[in-house]
Amino acid sequence: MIYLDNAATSWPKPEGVYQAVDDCLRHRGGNPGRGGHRLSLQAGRIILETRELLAQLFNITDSARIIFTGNVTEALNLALKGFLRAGDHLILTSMEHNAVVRPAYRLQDTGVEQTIIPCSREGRLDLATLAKNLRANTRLICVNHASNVTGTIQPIEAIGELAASKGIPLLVDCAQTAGILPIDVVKNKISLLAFTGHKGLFGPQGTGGLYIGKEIDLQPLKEGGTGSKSEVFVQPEELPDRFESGTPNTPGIAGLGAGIKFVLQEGLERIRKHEQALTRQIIEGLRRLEGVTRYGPNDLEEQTAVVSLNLEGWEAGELSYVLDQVFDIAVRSGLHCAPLAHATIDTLETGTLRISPGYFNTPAEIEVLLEALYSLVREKTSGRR
Amino acid sequence: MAKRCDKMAPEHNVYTVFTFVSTHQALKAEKVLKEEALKASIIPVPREISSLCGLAIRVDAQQRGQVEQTLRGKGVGIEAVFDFVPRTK
Repeated sequence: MIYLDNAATSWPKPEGVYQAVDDCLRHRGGNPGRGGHRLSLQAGRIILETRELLAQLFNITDSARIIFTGNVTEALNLALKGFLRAGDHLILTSMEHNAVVRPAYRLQDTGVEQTIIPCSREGRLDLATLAKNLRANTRLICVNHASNVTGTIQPIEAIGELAASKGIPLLVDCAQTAGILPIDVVKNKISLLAFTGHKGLFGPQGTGGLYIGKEIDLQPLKEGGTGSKSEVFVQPEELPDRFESGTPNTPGIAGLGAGIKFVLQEGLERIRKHEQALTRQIIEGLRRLEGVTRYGPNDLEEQTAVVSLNLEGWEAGELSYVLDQVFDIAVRSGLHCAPLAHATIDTLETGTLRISPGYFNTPAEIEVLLEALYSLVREKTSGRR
Repeated sequence: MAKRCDKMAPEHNVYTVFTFVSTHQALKAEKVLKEEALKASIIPVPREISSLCGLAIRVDAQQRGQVEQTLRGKGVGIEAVFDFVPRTK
């Protein structure tokens, strides 16, 4: 199997991730933060360690301000619904994933106004347009750091500057970029950072979280047991307990910690360079094919390792099915849970075929993919004659 | 301010208990002290004390100043500090 669907879930994982999950389940299986026996403490230490690794990766001073959630979707729901109130105005972009679009849509029922800034066909956000759409009641700007459809990277540093100059908090969805591009909550002036564990951070599925800046007053979406302040019925104010009711996914968080360690050891630059080289190989290989429409920016520096395309004479779903069944190559087709992004690049009707290489893919594997596509096109062309 | 409690003293040495606002802070305190090579044990909060979190850190009373300074320096959220004095009988 050649796995090229890393924008959905990275696979395989670094060896240390498998080991950490196994070790956690076998040897550190207590309930973290509940009780003081050694197995519980061991579990608690795992959670602390992963939190501190995340703090290191994102330059967060106080790791207690990082909340674990089940995934980035839950983190984004918490950020949007826990922060916005009736009468507030939210700005988002047309490249957002449904993880933002749907909660934002629902928030309109509670009196939250929203403006969706249209991006260019390459998925780029224009800062001047963003600035023009700010209102007196704009309370939050929400930006997808990189699109899961086109890979388009938004200039979060410039967006952060603009937001900070107007005193508006910035929420960044870094599902596609954590572990690949540098993210610095101080430098990029990010107030809320929603991340997922199972993509670039190499963690297991079911891990993710939210960084909550000191300046943000956020309401929890759930209350319950935290292992602290048990005698009172009011949810504790202290972070992370305030937002972490219930037993966490400790084995998952153990794996995530090992994944982040791997990222820190390899270095973001090395990971990014490898993924860029594979992306370049795909893009250049596609140029030799007729009937390919490729989406997104035409510049490797402006995109992550995501190549979205359509091939003349092929429906994207059919193509991905054949690649999987005949050639043993895993890619994804469809709308990738981001209909607004597809409307932006004008593929809402067709969807796209998305090829997303990862750090563990090799140039030889990309060559096999390209050969498969060539042979499919040849077959179709000769079939027509 | 330190509170005194002479009820719970399993041994004759005076010792100090730090309580914390959350488990995160208690475990962070443990980690920070370990990094600084300061001897500390993580213990369940003694019953005489009311704390937000069920875990506490116990250190030798002579280390109290240094431990407190280290924890505060690293931004660990201390809730309270207690000195435990053994009964003189």
